[in-house]
Amino acid sequence: MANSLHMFSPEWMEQFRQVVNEDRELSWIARWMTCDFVWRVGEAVYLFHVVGGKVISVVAPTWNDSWDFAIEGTEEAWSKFAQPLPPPMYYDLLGMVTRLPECRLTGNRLKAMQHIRSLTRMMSLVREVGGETR
Amino acid sequence: MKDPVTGRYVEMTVQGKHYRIYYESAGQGVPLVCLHTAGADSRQYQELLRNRELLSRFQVIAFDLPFHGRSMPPKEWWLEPYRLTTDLYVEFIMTFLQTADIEEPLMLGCSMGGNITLELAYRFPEKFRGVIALEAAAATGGRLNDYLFHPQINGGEMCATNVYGLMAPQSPEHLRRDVWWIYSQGAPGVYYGDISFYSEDWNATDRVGKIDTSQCPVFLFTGEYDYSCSPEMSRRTAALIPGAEFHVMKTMGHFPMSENPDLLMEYLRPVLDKLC
Repeated sequence: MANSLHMFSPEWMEQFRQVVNEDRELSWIARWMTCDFVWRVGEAVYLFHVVGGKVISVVAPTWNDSWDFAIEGTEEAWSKFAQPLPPPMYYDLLGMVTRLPECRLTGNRLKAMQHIRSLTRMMSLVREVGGETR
Repeated sequence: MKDPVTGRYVEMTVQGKHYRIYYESAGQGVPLVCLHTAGADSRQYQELLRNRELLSRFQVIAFDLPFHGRSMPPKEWWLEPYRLTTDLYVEFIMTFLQTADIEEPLMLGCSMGGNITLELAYRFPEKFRGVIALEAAAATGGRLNDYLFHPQINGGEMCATNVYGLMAPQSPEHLRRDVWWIYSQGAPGVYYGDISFYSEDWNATDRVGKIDTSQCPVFLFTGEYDYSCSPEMSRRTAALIPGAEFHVMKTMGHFPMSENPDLLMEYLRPVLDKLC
């Protein structure tokens, strides 16, 4: 059944969290992934708290929060990325943050690269959630 | 079922260092020598080495560069970092061809292997039937970074993930995962040493225009999903080479021979017919 939630809304993020936590591949490759990262989609900012490969929470960060790294991009860019068959240049997380001016990976990049295998898998799962774009 | 592929070694000396080089071959006919990408090995050609159509007309040959696959590094490799350069790469290839008694081959290379075929066509046009450069350009910068060879990062996962997203989502997943697997197995610093060639040392923009394509025809093919060597980068290079042909491969990424060999054959067939 098609997902009627607005893509990248807080409700959609909760569905994404569940898909990530149920992923068979991540269940073993992400065992050592413990970090906090921000995913910025245009003006919307979400803080992912990850412990042992499981996303414990996805919240809007407050002044009290800190995080390891941030994946940032426009809503248009992430909407392309989330398509079942993304167009060239919008298929790969590393490709987007290294080659597209509208996307960035900031903060502790060393930590992001330590988890790049799991992070790449995790982000690719947005394509399994579906949802409505603006 | 008996497999058509045979593996063997040749012994050779390059720049005073001794190497035992592994290569695989199958089929009979015009030698088609295949060059693997940075940080990988000849397994990338395992599908083309078993392609009946190719084997009926070509002797398909793929070798592992020193430090890669089953070709061991030379003695005292531990005393200095591995760094590939344009000159060293050319010498490895030419010495291998001579030692393995391969005459007037058609060269097929991908990524750094594609880049170097342009150098071969420039330096030794009389020695080749032609070159087919996949995912290649006269300069391919922007790919070197320290995360590829760092004690706090799992190099296998980093290098493999660094290339996984260069492939087209339309390519069969199990073939894309094979590419990931091969990349995860490179020794520490080898992919980095290759990328230092691919991204930094390699720049032939001043000389590709001098390639004599009447002696050595040049064909470039680039997948639309490749962001390491984009179609635009290859197109600009082809425009510099009088007589060169360039084609964009739809629904293809950076590893055509590995990620979608059947689709690659669709693109290669007219060129192979023309050349041989």
